[in-house]
Amino acid sequence: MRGRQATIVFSVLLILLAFIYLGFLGMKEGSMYYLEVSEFFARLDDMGDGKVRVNGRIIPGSLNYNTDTLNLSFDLKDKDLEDAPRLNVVYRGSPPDMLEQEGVTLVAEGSYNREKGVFEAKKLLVKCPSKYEKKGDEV
Amino acid sequence: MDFGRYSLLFSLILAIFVAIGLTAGLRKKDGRFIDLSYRGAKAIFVFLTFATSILIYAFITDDFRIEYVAAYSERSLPLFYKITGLWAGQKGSLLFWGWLLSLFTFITVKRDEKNLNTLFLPYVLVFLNLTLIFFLVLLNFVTPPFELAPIFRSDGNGLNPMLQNPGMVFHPPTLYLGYVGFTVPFAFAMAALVTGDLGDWWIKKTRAWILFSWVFLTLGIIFGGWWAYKELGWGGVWAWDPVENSSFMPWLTATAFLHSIIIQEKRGMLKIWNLVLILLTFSLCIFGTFITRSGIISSVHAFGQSPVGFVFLGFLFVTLATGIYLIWTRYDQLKEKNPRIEAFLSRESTFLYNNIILVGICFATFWGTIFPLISEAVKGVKISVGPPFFNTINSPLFLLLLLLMALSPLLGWRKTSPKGILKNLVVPVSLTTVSLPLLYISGIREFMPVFFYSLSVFVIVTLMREFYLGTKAGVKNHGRGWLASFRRLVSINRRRYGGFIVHIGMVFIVLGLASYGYYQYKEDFGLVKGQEVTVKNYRLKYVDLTNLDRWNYESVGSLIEVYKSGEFKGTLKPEKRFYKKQEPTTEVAIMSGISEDLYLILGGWNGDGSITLTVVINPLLSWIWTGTGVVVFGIVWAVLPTRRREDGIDVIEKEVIMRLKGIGAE
Repeated sequence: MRGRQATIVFSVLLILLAFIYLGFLGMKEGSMYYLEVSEFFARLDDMGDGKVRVNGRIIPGSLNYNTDTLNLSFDLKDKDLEDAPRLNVVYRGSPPDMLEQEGVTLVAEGSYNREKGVFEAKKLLVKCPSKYEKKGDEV
Repeated sequence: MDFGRYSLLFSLILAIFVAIGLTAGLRKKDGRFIDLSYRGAKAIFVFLTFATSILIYAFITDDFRIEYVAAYSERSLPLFYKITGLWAGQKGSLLFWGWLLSLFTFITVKRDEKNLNTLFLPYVLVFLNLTLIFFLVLLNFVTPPFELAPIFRSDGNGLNPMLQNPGMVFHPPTLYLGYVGFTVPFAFAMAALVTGDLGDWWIKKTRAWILFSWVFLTLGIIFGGWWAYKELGWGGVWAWDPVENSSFMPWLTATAFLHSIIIQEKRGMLKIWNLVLILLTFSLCIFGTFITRSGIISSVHAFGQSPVGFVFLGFLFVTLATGIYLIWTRYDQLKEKNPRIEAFLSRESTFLYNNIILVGICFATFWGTIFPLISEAVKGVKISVGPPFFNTINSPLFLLLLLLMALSPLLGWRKTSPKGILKNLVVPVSLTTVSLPLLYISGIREFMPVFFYSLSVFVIVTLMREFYLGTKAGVKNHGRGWLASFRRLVSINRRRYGGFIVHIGMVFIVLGLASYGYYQYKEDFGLVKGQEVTVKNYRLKYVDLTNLDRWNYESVGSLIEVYKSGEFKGTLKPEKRFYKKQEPTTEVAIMSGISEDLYLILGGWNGDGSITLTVVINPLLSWIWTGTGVVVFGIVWAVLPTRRREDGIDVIEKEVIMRLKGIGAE
């Protein structure tokens, strides 16, 4: 009886160890900085070249889409800062919905190309206007 | 409108009276107070029904004096979406939530009030009523749904077009039904702790509630994925976003709970664990609401940041503190007579591992969800955790769950001889082995997918074998025909075979998720009119660009002819829609089949008629929806009333099944 209990405890421990190991593996692969544009520039020097997420607002008028090459380009800046630094983001593929809407915020996931000084996004996440978001006091 | 406000206020007053009545009744041991409280609790339901009807009526009649109606409806909105406007926003959702809770309270009271042997009911009502008071306070003072608009408006803002989709219509109410449903077993569990009657009566009493809530929570999550798939235009159903995770976490603990209560019923084990699980499930429902409403964790679903979230956080702390305190006071009593698991390989132990893994997945999901907060607090910088984290840790755990699903029915309760297990494994393992070369030929060669597919085969085979052996036992024993025997088997032992059906459905869902997760194909094209492209075995021809003018939106659509293996399959029309007063949305076009979905997204167009088209191919994705149907069917099958027998099966037949399996009945 003791032996069997020990086997069960041992197998549970084994699962836990595997679990912790997987957790570390996952964190290494899956975690990345989530930064505002200004934070991104502030940390640019001590950051590696790994993937990072940058959150910001598209500067109106900076949006440019070439339908032949499918290249999308726009500038991001911090939501509330007026003279905030701009980050030029490029992306290849269909632009997501609502990009052209004024003041849309977006998260770009990708890495910074230091030579060209552009952010090469692999994924764009437009914050979807949820039903719970108030439409504001525009009336 | 005023009626609505007053009935909310009156409900709150009634609920406070119910609380006082219950306290007085329980203190003085006076049944009259208790009876009055029962009546009060039932009356709250009537008042809340009234309030909810008034809000729905306001939506139907375009009463834009009410700010909530003005914010989520407009005159030209279809009637269907006007009615569902009730849960389109936060205030209405909370009203709907409160109404459901009062309905469930009503049913709980009604079921047992005439029953003489119901010493527990007042205690159950205490907890249901306290939760209801929380919602009524919110509805009266924090998020009043009947608040008037500051200025007069002739028309409303309209409903966000993305929400004008059946998926989004069913997603919130099914999710709420699940969330609210778990309040009932939670209240019963707490009542068990307070009364000190810690047997499995509260589990037996709430079994139907638990299954009911679980199936709706499942549906709620799946409807969410379905909506995302059809509406968000990124070609997937699940992205491990915090908002998605917050509905997944209570599902995981609830699923663990669903399994571990079986152990308590059969063997009297895991009493504390079950109480902890139901407490966790209920708390995670509240936690999910906190995450989604507070906006504390950045999500793609940018819910408006509102103070309501933090009110939920407060409620969460109170709930957890109460629950932990109650369990702690009864700890010694719960510890008594707790039998131990006897064997490493037994059905109990598979349930135990199942629980550990489910809770493990839940913990990993929780960790990944709140990690940005932790890192910001500790290191001062937000670190977000993306899908790779969740996939890396959770995929192997899901594989283990599949393995357990297959092994569990092969093992008996208590002990199984290794020889018996080996004998049971022969058929399933050999069939699974046969599937390996087939998988290899069909191009599935990577490590993880091979495991997902072959283990799925393994589970399906073992489950089918269960049905087969059970039927065979009936044939051998009673000389019935195969069909009659099968019918008898599944209808006499609904719990067992309903459960197996649910497992088959879950395997379908896992297959769908794994297939699209590992083998999704995505490519962008720029096309001019008349141009053709070949994508895998599809040939797509861009024919024309069309304009449509509907009464509440205009749209631009591209006509794409689809040929599969040379054969014309139909014309798809991915669109972009421009709803009046709203931002444009992408309307994807999907050609769904058993083996794969063809999913087209219109990216944009130019003056010369050329377009950008994104083509996505999702293998086996529709299995997710089919599997969900199977799961629902299995649950319904399991809850349908049955003639009670020992463990549902005739004892003789059970023995025959055991012999067929070589386990040896005890």
